[in-house]
Amino acid sequence: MIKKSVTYKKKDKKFNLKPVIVVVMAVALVSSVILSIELATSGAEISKLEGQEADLISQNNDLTQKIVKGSSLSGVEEKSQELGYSKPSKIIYLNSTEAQMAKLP
Amino acid sequence: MKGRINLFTIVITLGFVLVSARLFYWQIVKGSELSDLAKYQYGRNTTIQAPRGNILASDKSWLVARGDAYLVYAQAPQLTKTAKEVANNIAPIFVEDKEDKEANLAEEQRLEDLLNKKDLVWVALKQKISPEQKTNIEALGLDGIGFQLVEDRLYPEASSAAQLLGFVGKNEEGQDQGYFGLEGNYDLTLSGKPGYKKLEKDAQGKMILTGDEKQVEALEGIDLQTTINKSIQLTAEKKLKEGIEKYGASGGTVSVMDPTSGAILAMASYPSYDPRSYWDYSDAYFKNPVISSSFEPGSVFKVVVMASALDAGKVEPDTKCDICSGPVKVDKYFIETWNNEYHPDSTMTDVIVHSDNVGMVFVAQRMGADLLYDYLDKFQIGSLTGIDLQGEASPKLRERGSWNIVDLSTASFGQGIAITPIQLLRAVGAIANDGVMSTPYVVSTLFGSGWQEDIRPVYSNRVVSKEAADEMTAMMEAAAEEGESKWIQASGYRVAGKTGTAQIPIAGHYDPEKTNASFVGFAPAEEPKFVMLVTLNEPKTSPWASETAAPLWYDIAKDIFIYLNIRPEN
Repeated sequence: MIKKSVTYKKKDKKFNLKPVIVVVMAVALVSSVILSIELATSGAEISKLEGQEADLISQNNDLTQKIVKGSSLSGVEEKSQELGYSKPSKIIYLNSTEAQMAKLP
Repeated sequence: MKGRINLFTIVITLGFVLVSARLFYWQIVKGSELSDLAKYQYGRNTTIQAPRGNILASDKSWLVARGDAYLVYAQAPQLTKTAKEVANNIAPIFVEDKEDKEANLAEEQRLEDLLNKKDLVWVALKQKISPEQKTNIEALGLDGIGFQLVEDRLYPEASSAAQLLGFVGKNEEGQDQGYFGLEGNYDLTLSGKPGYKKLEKDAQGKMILTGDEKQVEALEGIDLQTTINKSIQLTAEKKLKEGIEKYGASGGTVSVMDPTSGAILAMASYPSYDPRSYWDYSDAYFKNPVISSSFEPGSVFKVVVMASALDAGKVEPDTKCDICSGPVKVDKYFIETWNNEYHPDSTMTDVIVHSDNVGMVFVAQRMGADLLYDYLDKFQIGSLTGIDLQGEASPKLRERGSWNIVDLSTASFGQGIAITPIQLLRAVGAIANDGVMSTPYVVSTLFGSGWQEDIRPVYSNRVVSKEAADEMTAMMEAAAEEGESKWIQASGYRVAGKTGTAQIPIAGHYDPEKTNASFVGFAPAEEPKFVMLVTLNEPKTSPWASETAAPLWYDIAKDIFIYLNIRPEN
């Protein structure tokens, strides 16, 4: 009888791995699914960002092209003539020793 | 029962064998092929284009800029309109002038022919259209018309400096390549290096983050900062064109250099071409005559010979010419002055002022052929200047020791010898720069991403002494003030200059009517800020440079005085 009761005590102390394995597997499975979803979402996000980057580069290039065209000296000359500006026909140089500069009152 | 079990075993075994065999076929026999197919399906290999570098003026404004353009294509299976309808819609956007009905009709026909080709799947309709044109086509809402981004070159000043800049065309492999001028000489620098991107994408084209990804970034093309002064360049081009029309010349060049450093400030030539549509021009237009066309310089060459004689101590500015009282006989030829006027006992300054051929024969005879050759060699006449432009050529100088008395005499006044405009500009630049000759150059700095490097050449070589250069400058100043071009001189400015009217050699003799006119000079004479050479080919209004090239030189110089802040001295 005494022996039997000892055996029961040993059985009570035995660690049961089964539920732990199930829990770990369940966690791993859920993590894997979450990770997959996360990766797929990130992939889509990266694709979207790449598209935005391409758009911004394109807009930047368009603006640069406008600046390039706007900086044309020939264009500026043409425009200035349209606005009535003309090239000075006579340039007068003032000698630094001659203090005959126009002064505002 | 046992029979059934055996049958079941056989069927299972056979099935296993069949499945194994099939697996072996797909995995081993076809494995590699299928793997490639799968990679092709989900893998994306993209070449990352390296943007070509810009070419900048000295003030860092653009001479050539990179830009975006689009290739327009049609995908026949997706077209919902007829070829004629598509052509009618798109053609007006492709032609430059919408009002030009003839061009419009021709373009419509071209597009219709392309779209009506048999078994058509994909066809390119137009290369390199602008973003505005793309927007206009998109607004039409045509199905089956697509666009592919390609790189383009923008020229804010249109065809300005075309022969200096060169153009970007295609090589044998269909890739962009620079030809002629800066685009040709700095092609590798401007091109950069394309990158590479490999990644995996899912069926929707989204990136698979756990996939195999490799990326090598593209190296952008390097920007070139040139020494070109845009204001001077545009002025030179405009006035050269006006001058050619005014004097009825067939062509001409203007080149402006800083004599101290060798920096090219402007280089213009006419006729020229439009780099945006280079394919419309023949090869002859692509060559830059300043660096690749040789000519007999005529009297402008006298300054090089006289400077050599002064440096060698063979003459002084006040040395008197004792053969200048009339034509001089050399071998069986009589050498005369250009106007048949003779000035007995002329000084060497008078010889330059009057552009006296007989006086120059006197100088040459004092020097002798070998000494003259040695000086021309020091001035590097007959050698490439080393300017950083593709396409430079140099006529050879007759070999030392092979010059006879006629060669020596005619070379003294610039006949029987051929040079390029850039060689003459460099030689006169040496006189302007106290006798020190610099290498002409166009690109001063390279600009990369986050770095820059000064690449201007430091080579310089003394060819004549400062005293000889100063004496020659004084002679040229006298020539500008008292010579045949004195009527056009810029009042108040000290200019050292010399005219040159050269006969044109044709089949062993000189053309009796046609001439090439040139004027070379620098200012201010004391501390020159620029040296400029103007050449005009076969001007019709007058055979004399004093009436064609010289006034054109002064007309351009008056603007340069303002741009370079050169003030009159009195």
